[in-house]
This record gives sequence, C-alpha cells and structure tokens, in this order.
Amino acid sequence: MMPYAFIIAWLLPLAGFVTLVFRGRRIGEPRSGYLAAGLMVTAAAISMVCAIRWVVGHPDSLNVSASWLVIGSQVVNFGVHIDSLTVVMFTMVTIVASCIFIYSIGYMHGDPRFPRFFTYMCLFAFSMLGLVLSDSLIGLFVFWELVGLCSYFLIGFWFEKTSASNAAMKAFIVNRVGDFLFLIGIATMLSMTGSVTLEGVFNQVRQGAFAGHGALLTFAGICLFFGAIGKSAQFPLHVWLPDAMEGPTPVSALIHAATMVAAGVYLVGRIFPILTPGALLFVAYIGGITLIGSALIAIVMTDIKRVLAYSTISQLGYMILALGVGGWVAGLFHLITHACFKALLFLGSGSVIHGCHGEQDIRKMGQLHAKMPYTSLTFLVGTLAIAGVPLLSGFYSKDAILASALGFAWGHRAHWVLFALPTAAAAITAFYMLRLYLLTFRTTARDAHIHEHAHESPKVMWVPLAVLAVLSICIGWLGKMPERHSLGEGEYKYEGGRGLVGLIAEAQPTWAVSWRMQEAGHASSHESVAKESAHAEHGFHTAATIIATAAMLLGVILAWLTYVKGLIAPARAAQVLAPVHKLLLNKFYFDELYRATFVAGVLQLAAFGKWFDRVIVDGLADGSARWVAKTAFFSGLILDNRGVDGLVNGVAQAALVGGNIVRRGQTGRVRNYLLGLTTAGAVAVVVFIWIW
Amino acid sequence: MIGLTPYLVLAAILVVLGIAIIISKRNAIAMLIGVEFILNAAALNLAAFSRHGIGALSGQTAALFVIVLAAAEAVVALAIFLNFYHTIATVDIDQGDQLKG
Repeated sequence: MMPYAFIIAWLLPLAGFVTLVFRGRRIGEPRSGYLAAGLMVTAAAISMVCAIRWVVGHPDSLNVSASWLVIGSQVVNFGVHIDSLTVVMFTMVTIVASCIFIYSIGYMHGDPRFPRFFTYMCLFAFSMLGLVLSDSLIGLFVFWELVGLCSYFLIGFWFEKTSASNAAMKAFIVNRVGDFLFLIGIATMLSMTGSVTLEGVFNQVRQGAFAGHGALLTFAGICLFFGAIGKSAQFPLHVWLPDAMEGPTPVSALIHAATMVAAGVYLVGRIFPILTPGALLFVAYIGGITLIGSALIAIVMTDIKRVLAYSTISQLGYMILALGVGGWVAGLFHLITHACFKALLFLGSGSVIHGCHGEQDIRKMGQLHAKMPYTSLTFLVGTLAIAGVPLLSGFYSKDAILASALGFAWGHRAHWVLFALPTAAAAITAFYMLRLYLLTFRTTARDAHIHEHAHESPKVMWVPLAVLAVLSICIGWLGKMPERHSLGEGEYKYEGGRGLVGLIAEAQPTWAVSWRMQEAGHASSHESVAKESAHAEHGFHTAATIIATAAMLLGVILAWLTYVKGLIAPARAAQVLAPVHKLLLNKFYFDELYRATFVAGVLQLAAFGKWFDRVIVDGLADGSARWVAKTAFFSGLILDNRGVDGLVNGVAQAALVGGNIVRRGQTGRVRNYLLGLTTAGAVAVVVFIWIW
Repeated sequence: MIGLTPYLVLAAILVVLGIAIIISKRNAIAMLIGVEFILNAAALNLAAFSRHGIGALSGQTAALFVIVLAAAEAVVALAIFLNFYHTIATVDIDQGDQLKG
C-alpha cells in the first residue's frame, strides 16, 4: 500500500497544477492559494503517516515500476523507488513546501498573478517529489529538468523587471551546462551498463561493467556530478543562484534554498556507489572551494537575500564536500536540516522585506526586533542553527560533516585542506549569519523612515515560520550514527542507528566502488581496516565536535565584538583590507569573467553567425536569385519571346506573306487563268520547237 | 487541190482569235462565241488532217462529234448563264465573284 500512498501524495500537487492551469483565473486570489496549500498539506499529512509507519515497520525498500518507453530492445522503465532516504526527503519536501505555500498566501497577497504563482509552485512540488521518488537516471533527469523549468518560471515571475527576467535566463542557461554533462553521464552509463535504473547500474558496475575502464567510470561519475554542480550552484556554475533572488521570496525559500538546489546533493548521494575515489576527490574539492568562497562573499553582501543566497551555496558546498569525503549520511543529514533552517531564514527575510515595504538592504534596517518579534525570534533560531550552536539541528549535521572530513584528512594527509576549509567556513558562517541578524534586528535603527513604518507580518506568514523554527531546533535530536561493519569486497552493513540520522543511514549504500578500491589498496585485511576506521570515526567525532564548536564561538565572538561592542569598525576593516573587500564585493569577478569569456564568446559567435548569415548565406541566396532572374530574363525575353515566339510567328508570317504573294494570281477571273494557260502553252511550244 | 497548210493557218488564226475573245471579253455570250471559235478550229484541223492524211473518214467523224459537243456545251453554258443572269441581273463575268473566298 505504501508506495501507492506516496504516489497519491505525489500526484496531489499535479492535480493542483492542472486545476489552476485551467481554472486558476476563475478560482481567484485567496482561493487558489487555499487550494494549493490544502493539497500540499494533505500530501504532507499522507507522507508523515507513511513516514511514521516506515519507522515503526522498518521495511526495506519498495519498488513500483512500469515500462515507459521501448527503444529497440531497450526498455526504459518509469518507476518509483522508496527507501528510507526517499521517505525522509519526501516528508521534508512536503512539510517545507506546506509551510511555504501557506506563507505565500500572505506574502503574495495582492499580486496580480496570484493564481499563476501557485500554479507554478504546484508544478514545482510535483516535479521535486517525482525527482525524489524516481528510480532511474532517466526519471531523475526528466524531473530534474522540470524543476529547472519551474525555477525559470518562478525566478522570472516578476518578469516586468529586466533584472528578474535576466536572472531567470541566467539560471536556466547556467543549469543547461550542467544538465548537458549530466546527460552525457547518463548516456555513458546506458552504453556501458545497458541500464538506466539506479539499481541496474549499480549491479552492472558491481559485476564489472567498467572492468578495465576505470577512467571512463571516473569520467561518467564526474559528468553526472556536473548535473549536481549546476543544480546545486557549486563552483564554477554557482553564479546563477545569487541572481535567482530576483524571484519572490517564498520561491527563494522553497526552490533556491530548501529543495531544488538540494536535488544536486541528493543526486550525488544516489550515485555515490559508482563514484570512484578520483571522482569523489573531485567532488570534495568542488565542495571545499564552493563553501569557503561563497562564505567569504556572504560577509560583504548587504542585500538580506543575497547574504542568504551565498550562505546557501556555502552550505550546499558543505554537503557536497561531505559526500566527497565519504560522509554519505552526514551530507544528506545536513541536506535535511539545512532545508528546514534555510527555508526558515528565507521566509524570515521575506517577512522582513514584507514588513519594510520592499526594502532589502540591511544597512537601512536595524532595531527591527521590537517591531516584528516573531520574525526576529524565528530568524534567531535559524541563525543559531546554521551557525552550529549546540542542540540545534545544524550543530549535529555540521558536526557529522566535520567528523567525516577530519577522518578523510587523517587518512589522506595530502588533502588536509579538505578539513581546514569547512572548519574555517564554520567560523565565517557563524560570523556572517550573526552579522545579518544583528544588523537587521538589533543594533540601532539606521533608517528612521523604514523603522517607523515596519510592521509584523500577518499570522498566515509567521505561523509557518514558527513551525519551521520548531523543526530547525528539534530534528537533530536523539540521532545516532549507526555502526559500520565490513562484509568485505567493499560491502558494509549498518547497525544501531537512531533518530533522523539513523533513518537516513538506513538508505546508505551498502556497497560502493570507492570502498572496494580502497580495500584493494590496503595490504592488511579489511577486517582490521574496518575496525580501525570505526574506532577512528568515533575519535574524530569528539574532536570534530570540539573544533566545530570552537570555530562557531570564534565567529560569534567576532560578530559580537564588531556589531554589538563596536570594537572593530567594519568600515575600517574594509579600508584596511581594501583589495580583498573589493574582490569579495565583486564576488571574485566570476560574473565579469564569464561575461568576458563565455558571454562575449557567444556574442562574438553570434556576430560571426550574423555576418555569415548576412554575407555568405544571404549572399548565396541573393546571388542565386539574381542568377535565376537573369536566366529567366534571358530565357523569357530573349529565348522565348524572340526565339520560340519568333519561330512560330515567323512561320505564320511567312505563310501570310507567301499567301499574299500567291493570292495575286488567284483572281477568280477565267481570262486571267486562260491567259496564263495559253502563255504557258505558247512558251512550251516555243521551247519544244527550239529544243527539237 | 488546196494543200494542208492553208487549213492549218486558218485553224491557228481561229484558235488565236477564240482565245483573244475569251481573254478580252467580259460578256459571257461573247466568251461562248470565243469557245465556239476554238472548237471549230479543232474541228477544222481534224477534217483537214483526215483529208490529207490517212484517208479514212475518222477525222470527219470526229469533227461531227465536235459539232455535237459544241452544241451540247453551248446548251449547258447558256443554262448556266441564264442562272447567272437570274442571280445578279447581268452576264458580265467579272461580277460573278460571289464565291470568292
């Protein structure tokens, strides 16, 4: 029954989408929101019931599949695969989406395209849930593209603004780059393993479909990962996400913070077993570069949503890094906790923007705590959670990531930077998030006008905030990482997990290419390696907790000294570090770099194409047209009119002239004929006599 | 006895006269007379050759036939001319151009 319950919950937003597409305008402003939110809440309720039954019943995984396409002998199935990760993701998406849908009813109030907003949101929810449920790379790709499309619609929702429509195009095009490589990865998998279902691919890889083609497997893994780079806004394709903040804030919360961007991480989690150590190292370094770079940029941003956008990129970098260093559970656990507190932070920022009548610049805010207490409190919860304050959800997940990174760096000393980067970023995260909170809600009111008119958002907006705040606090509790037991040949089993972490860990791959290759590299028996690493993991966990907390405290203290005590003047710091400040303000000049290379290149190519079209292609067409015209002129006026017509007319003319000449003899008068006759006779006689 | 030549010369003069009449006259009756001249010239020749040549009466017989023929011809021609006259109230041959294409 359970897969069907999930499928029903999945189809509810689709029903909402179809209804709103056809009847949206008739249904009108408040009711279309109620419809969409109602369906979403129903889906959330169904998935929560199922999740509880899952936890109690502990079934393995469930598959439902039907053949979708038959291409030659290749059957592409469209199926649903449900394991505990799916259950967790599905429940997270539906709950977060429900909160955001309800919030949107308040936030989008008065927008002329209110029903359309919910139409897109429903389509997005459907696609995202489909992506989570899908059991094959093809299914993943289809929904992957659908969420990308929804993202395009929603970023450009206020398309009257040029910046919004440009941002939508940018997001779409940058994602295309990743998707293209993703598709190449899928094609490589299909050609090497003959299968596109995740399970089929894993089985084939395990049975040696890539034997002797290790580099190709690495290549395919990196290609698939590039899909995630695009969607999860990782370096070097991260440039679209900050611009995507042009969309309405609930969109930023749902799509560009909580769910869609997490799809990339989810994908990496799903394809983890086929990633070779080389591919994983690539993944880890991409995550590392992303998380530190965007954290640094976040320090200097002044737009409340952009700070959160860079923070999102940074946190996604954390997850990617975690997966890259083999911390599968840690990465996906952070994905879930991050979804909750980042949705909360974004909705909080939306509430602030709403309350300040569209103002997004934190330099003009301050002292808003008194004006909007609920928003302030929930925002504080989100801030502390993302900073990693103990007992909040972010603490547990970030801790797990740092433990994995430390474990990896310990085993591979050359890659110590993979631990240093997230640690440094942890301190920076705490700093910039507190900066954001303090500048917005505390310190002094810097713009009297804005402060005076600021007001708390309506209940429909702050209640979802409260729900998300509770989730951000609680979901990490009682978690316990399961113990790893090696079964040899890269195969493991897990025991004794508890809480959300344990639930996610149940879906952890039991076998992976990288593990087998690692074991093959070790001379000692895998038994002892496993034991060692299990011990080490435990040790790393304690160390990581201490280091993470210390880093967080460092950031918090620094923010406190800067923005509350005023011991460090931010303006002076910016002056002293002017070159760095300028570099960060310009986001490491990535936009400029891309504009100078790719955009300019494409424009050049377009200009060349235009020239080619105008001069060569049009020239060819015009030339041949001119030639045809000339030929036609020749054949028409000269050949036909003069030649053919001349011949025909000439014959007629000749007949006419000849006739006119001959008719003179034909007088009709007997005597003329007779004269001719006798003359001829006489001549004949004379000739006859003369010859004779 | 008169020789053959005078006959032939007379016949030639008759023929030329007949032709000249036919060519120059527009009156149908006059043209018919021209035709009679020619026919009679032929008949004269036949009789003359018969008399001075083979000796049999075949030439004279042919001459008789020619006279009969001329009479028949005159009958037919006159009948045509009468009709002609009925139609266009003249015997001027040049007026008979109604069949002209």
